[in-house]
Amino acid sequence: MAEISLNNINKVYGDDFHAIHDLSFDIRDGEFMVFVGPSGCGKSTALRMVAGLETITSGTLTVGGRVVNEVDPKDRDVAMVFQSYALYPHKSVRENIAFPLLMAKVPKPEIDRRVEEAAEILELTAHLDRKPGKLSGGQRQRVAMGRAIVRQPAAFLMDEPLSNLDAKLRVQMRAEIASLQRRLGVTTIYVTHDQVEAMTMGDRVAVMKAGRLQQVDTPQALYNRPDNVFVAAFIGSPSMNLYEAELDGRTLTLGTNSFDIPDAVFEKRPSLAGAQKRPVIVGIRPEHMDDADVRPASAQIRARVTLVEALGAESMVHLAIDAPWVDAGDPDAVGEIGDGKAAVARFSPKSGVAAGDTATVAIEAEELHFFDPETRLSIW
Amino acid sequence: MTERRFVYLMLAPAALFLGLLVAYPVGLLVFNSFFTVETITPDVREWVGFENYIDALTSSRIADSAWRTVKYSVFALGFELIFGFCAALLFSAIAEKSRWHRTIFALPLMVPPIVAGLLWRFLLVGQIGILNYGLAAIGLIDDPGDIRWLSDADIVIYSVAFADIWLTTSFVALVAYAGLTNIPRDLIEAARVDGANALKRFWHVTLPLLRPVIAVIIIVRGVDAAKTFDLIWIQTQGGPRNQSEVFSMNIYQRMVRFGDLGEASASATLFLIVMLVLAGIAYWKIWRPSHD
Repeated sequence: MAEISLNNINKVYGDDFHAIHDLSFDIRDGEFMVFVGPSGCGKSTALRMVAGLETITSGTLTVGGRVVNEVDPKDRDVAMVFQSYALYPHKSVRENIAFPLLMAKVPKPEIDRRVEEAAEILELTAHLDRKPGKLSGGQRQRVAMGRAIVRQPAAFLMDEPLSNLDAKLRVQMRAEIASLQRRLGVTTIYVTHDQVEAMTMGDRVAVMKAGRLQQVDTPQALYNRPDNVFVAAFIGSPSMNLYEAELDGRTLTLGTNSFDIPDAVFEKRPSLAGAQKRPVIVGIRPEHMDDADVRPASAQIRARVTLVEALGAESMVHLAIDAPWVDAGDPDAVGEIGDGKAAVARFSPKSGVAAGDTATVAIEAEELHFFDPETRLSIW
Repeated sequence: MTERRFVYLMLAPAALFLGLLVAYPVGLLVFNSFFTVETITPDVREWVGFENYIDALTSSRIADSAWRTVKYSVFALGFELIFGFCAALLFSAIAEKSRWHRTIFALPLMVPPIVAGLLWRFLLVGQIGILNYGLAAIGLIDDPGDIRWLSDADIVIYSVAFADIWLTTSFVALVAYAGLTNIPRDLIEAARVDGANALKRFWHVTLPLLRPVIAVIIIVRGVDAAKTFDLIWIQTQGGPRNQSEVFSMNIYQRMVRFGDLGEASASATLFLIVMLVLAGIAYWKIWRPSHD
């Protein structure tokens, strides 16, 4: 078990491709840290540098207080779980799990004991003598986990370990991995592009984009206090709706709609106070909008309904808001539902709106987020 | 027309050619092996049953040539595997930059065996062999005449294999390289993180995953080496004192020099059976899918 610390880590491929820019943060002993970001953001590269599979161009990496920049992967005392599981196809489950112990020259009886123990924890006992090819995706995933936990390493490194599983199994394994990690208390870095995994599993989450760390904090803090437009849109599903707006005094003008901002917002974000025709990016989470007929609020806008997706417990209502839409800069965002530029609101199922209607939408104005259009940083 | 019939129809030309060019000659070979029949008068034949086989199996010259074939094949194949895999691992280590190296390395594959045989004969032969002058020049031997590569009865069967090794190491290297590039990088990286050094990664991951590739090489190259004729013939014609006469050469001598078509056919049939059995064993032992 160990603390992992990254100090000004850079990765440059060839002459010009700067994959990681000055990455710095500490992962505490026993912490479950998630690296999340869209594809190509450098999260896997960062993990592979911790594993020793990629060289570090500059900066220092320490594991348990020891600088490991130049240490071979085999001597770093970290265990890795790959997206493809990387099980040795010619070895049985038992041999796969035992492999790191065999390499560490652990005595045979001890290997047997620890393999049995790991198999017990992961419910693989019945499959120990089968080859990986004969196992289901979920079982293979567990063998990969077994190979990692059997070593009792200083840290677990997991590179999108669940993305080859189907949705249902993914939800189940998500909980299993998180509880296993809490039980073992081993420092873990978990890479994913799925913000739901990040939010549900991580003690803390590091959001990355284009090789730069955007924000690192607890899931709840990322959700409540995103540092910038990207983090705001990336965390939360469906994404936060972002529009260009104008704040004048306490009146927010959003397209042809305008409403007053409550005092609570100015207390929370003092630098917003006294704004005069200040252009802002306003962020509204889907869950902070509802049908004004069901749940009226002081802040209301009118918007045309383009699509209603009734999910039973709630309805995802797509709204055409007549203010300029803001692109948060997520290369993977294809507009999760609908055309991407529509606002998505999470309406109560009691709402009777239908596509084509013009609805009055109630907004919980104290929950609005404000960003500077120039710097795209949160205004506090 | 049903699909099955259509398939048969499409297969028919190939089957016809195979029948005409393979099944018929092989059938004739096996048929001839049960007769005393001269090469110059193949229509005059006398039934002798298994006598040709008994002769072949008891002949010391045939037994010697068979044993020499084994020595030649094992020697050639052994070095081809070692050199070929080393080259493949080197190519794989320098990855993309190895394109030109691979191309140049593959050049011997374009050289006809006859030419390779001649080339190596000039390198090795007696007093004028260039190789010995080189060895003498760097002081490994005292005199260029010290090693008589192609006329020393004890070593000639290995000397003639040099040409084979030179000619086909590149084939082994290319096939092995193709096999290496097929090994998922994740597996090698997983082994690195699991604590395996380069040697252990090769032993525990690379080599087992190359089993099918090794099987292909051993079957293809082994059968090829065992039936070598031209490469050795051009260098020594089986000499000195038949000490480089391999099995195929023995069959040729029996049929062409001694005109004994029946006995040559019996030997050839035995050869065929042995090769089929060897290929079968290699197939079952090594080519079992590793994903079971």
